[in-house]
Amino acid sequence: MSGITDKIAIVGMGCTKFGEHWDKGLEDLIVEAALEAFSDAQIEAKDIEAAWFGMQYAIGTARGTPLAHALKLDYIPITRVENACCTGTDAFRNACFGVASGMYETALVVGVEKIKDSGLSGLPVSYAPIWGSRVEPPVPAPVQFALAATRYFATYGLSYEEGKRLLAKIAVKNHKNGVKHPKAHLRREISLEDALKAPLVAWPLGLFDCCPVSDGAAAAIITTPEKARRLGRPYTLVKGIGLACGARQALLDDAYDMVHFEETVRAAKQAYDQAGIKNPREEISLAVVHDCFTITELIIYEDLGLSSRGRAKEDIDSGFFEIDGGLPVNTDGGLKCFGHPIGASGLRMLYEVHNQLLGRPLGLKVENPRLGLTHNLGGHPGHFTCAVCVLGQGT
Amino acid sequence: MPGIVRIGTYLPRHRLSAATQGWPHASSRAVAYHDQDSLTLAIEASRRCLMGFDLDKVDAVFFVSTSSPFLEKLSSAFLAAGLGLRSDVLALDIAGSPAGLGAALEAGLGMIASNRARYVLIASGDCRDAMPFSSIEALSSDTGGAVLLGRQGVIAELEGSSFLTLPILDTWQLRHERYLKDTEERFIQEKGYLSALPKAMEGLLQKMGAGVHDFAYAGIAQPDPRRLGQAAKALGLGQKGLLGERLYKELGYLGCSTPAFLLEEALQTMTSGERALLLGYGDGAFAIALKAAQGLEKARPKNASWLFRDVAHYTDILKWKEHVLYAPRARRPSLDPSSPISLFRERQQNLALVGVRCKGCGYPQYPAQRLCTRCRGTDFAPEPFAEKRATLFTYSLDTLGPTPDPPLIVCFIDFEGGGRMQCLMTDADPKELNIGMPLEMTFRRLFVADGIPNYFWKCTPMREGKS
Repeated sequence: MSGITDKIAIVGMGCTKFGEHWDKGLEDLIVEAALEAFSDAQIEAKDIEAAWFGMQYAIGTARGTPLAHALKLDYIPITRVENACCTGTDAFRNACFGVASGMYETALVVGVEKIKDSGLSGLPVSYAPIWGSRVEPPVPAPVQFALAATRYFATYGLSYEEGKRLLAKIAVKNHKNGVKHPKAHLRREISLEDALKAPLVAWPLGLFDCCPVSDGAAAAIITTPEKARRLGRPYTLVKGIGLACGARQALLDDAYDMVHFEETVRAAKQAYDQAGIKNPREEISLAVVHDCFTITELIIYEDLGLSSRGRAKEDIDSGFFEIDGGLPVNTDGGLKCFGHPIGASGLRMLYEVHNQLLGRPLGLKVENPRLGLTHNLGGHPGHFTCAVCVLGQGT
Repeated sequence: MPGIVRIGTYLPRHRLSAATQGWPHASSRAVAYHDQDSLTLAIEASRRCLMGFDLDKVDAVFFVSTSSPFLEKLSSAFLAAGLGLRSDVLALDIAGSPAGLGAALEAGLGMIASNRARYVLIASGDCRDAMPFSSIEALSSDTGGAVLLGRQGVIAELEGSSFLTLPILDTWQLRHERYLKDTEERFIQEKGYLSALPKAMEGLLQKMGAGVHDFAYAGIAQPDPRRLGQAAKALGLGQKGLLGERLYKELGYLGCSTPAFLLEEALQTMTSGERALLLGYGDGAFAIALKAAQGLEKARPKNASWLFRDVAHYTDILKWKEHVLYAPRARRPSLDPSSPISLFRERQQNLALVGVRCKGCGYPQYPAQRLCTRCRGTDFAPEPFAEKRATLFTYSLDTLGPTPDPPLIVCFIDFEGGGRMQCLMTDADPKELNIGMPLEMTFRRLFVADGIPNYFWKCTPMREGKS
């Protein structure tokens, strides 16, 4: 088995501003992100041989054609990918396989979400499969992760106040980073007090423990390293990419602790093995992770091996994950501040890491990064889909 | 001799009282939570009645109510499924009259006496459609009752009965009417209640060749509890041995379940050989004589828990009982209805909370899996979860979730003996929650969407004792 490492080059990326795009439609967002990527790679739509299109909430448009339509692509194969909040990275992952197999030399990946048109607060999510018995409790995302927060506090002996303060520090950090990024949704700093005093959404999580729901799109153009060198453009290389899906073990098995997400652990292991990473805390220069809620980011630190089990508190308190810390996390503000258009988020993470590795971030800069990681998580505790991707410098 | 074998009652966790802001009445009343109806109350009472009993021996089940959730559809069929009774039981709804329990006792006794059934379960439940601020609201509690009739293990013999039918518009509810309607109170008492009850009682005494002095206790169902003394006096019954004093004072009238509560009280105090008189009113009246059997002392029924949580504000009830429209807390999609096809396919899993136990590794799991979550085995035995105790593993309070009584308590629980479930918690005070606290399961109506009801189980803090 030959693997994916160093076989895929990212030669172009694009990303819209994330936010409440009352004046833009799906097509506008797709075109804006894709044209930025085309311009970055200095290629044209006609050079694209195949595309992968990620979108989660697509009533009546669950197919590849909206992408073809928006960009007037020329009868090329387009695969629609839908994999919860992990959609963007999974679309990217499948495109990588398309290119690595030799089937296509140049592929386009676009992730998009236009959910604010729903007029709803939170995600326009139905609580259970349609046509089912619907006896499962209604558990929107904040509740899912609040359940993990309650358990984390109890397991590690944190009082409500201590736990809330710890989580608030994560929110404050991400806002501090994101405020510097021109494309972030919530461009404002918040104080620890703001976070602590925010109204409760799902106890123990408050408003500032939750990421916003946003509209937005992001795009990537990938090719072989050979072609990347021919193009003469700066590029990054895929070092490893892992994906793991849960089978509801956590909902069924009373041995599950709910202070870790096994899907993250497994996806990370796949990616680390491929990339040859032995000690992620030392080897990774920056990580852009799926902080849909502050507690999620805390648990991710431990699941990715960036902190030891149960020791994330020490690293948060010491500022290890701050922009000037040992391992900056969510340098662009993360979901918390940058926003979360579901299908686009995985590609937005790659956009940030790619630009950091090329030394041209739009927001805060990490000095001399070598390896960057993205972590994209979809679904619920117990049955997540998790993707972890490691990018390195092009050679 | 056939008779009563077991008895069980159920009081909802919530109460309207002087502690309830805006409660327009002087009374205190037990009130169903927003996820309870007459069927779920009857199931809770039946579970208490049947605790530890071999369910396969029950051959017939009657549901007695004036407020069945269905006009067409047997609530007793859902009752049987929720309790896990055999599918070849006789299921029957006795609707329309608050005196239905008397008729049910007579019918059930007949089945047993004629050897048509070994055991007959009679379950009652009522959540009467009282108009807000009405005197019916002031006087009625929502409760459930259950009586198991049989030939073996009898604690009280039913010695005789007498019935009277009277077509009278006293309290009634027409099809398509949202609320109960009633007529002049003194007319009801004079020409209805105080006319029918003495006749039924006289009939019984004549049949038995007995007098009131032969009965140590008397239980009288009185829809207007303020007039209990007046009724006893008219019947020639003294205060001594008159049952239901606390019941009427603290809970008022209990609808169809009133006779079950009175019976329970009688059987908690009677000694073997003593007799009691049970009188019920509704579209006439019934009078039933019972005699405490040998062995009653060893098998006395236990009280329902009287541990209540006072409803904070009267407007809560207006929401719970859907008297008013109100805006949801968040702009979220409305609840999609359940699929009746899926509900049918999963009826055992959903209504009786039956999961599986892996025959390979022994691990219990809910809902049923096709492959074991632990060992991937495919050989399973059915595993009922409804009567298992559990502990709270983790929880969250959803301030925006779809509930008329926020916050919505979502939790993960671990069952005694293994197994985990994500479910809602009901009847709980968010302030009293703590990880590891003991829980039990309770049968509830999750929601009605598009006219489709969805019955399922929730967990609830253990509730014991009489306060």
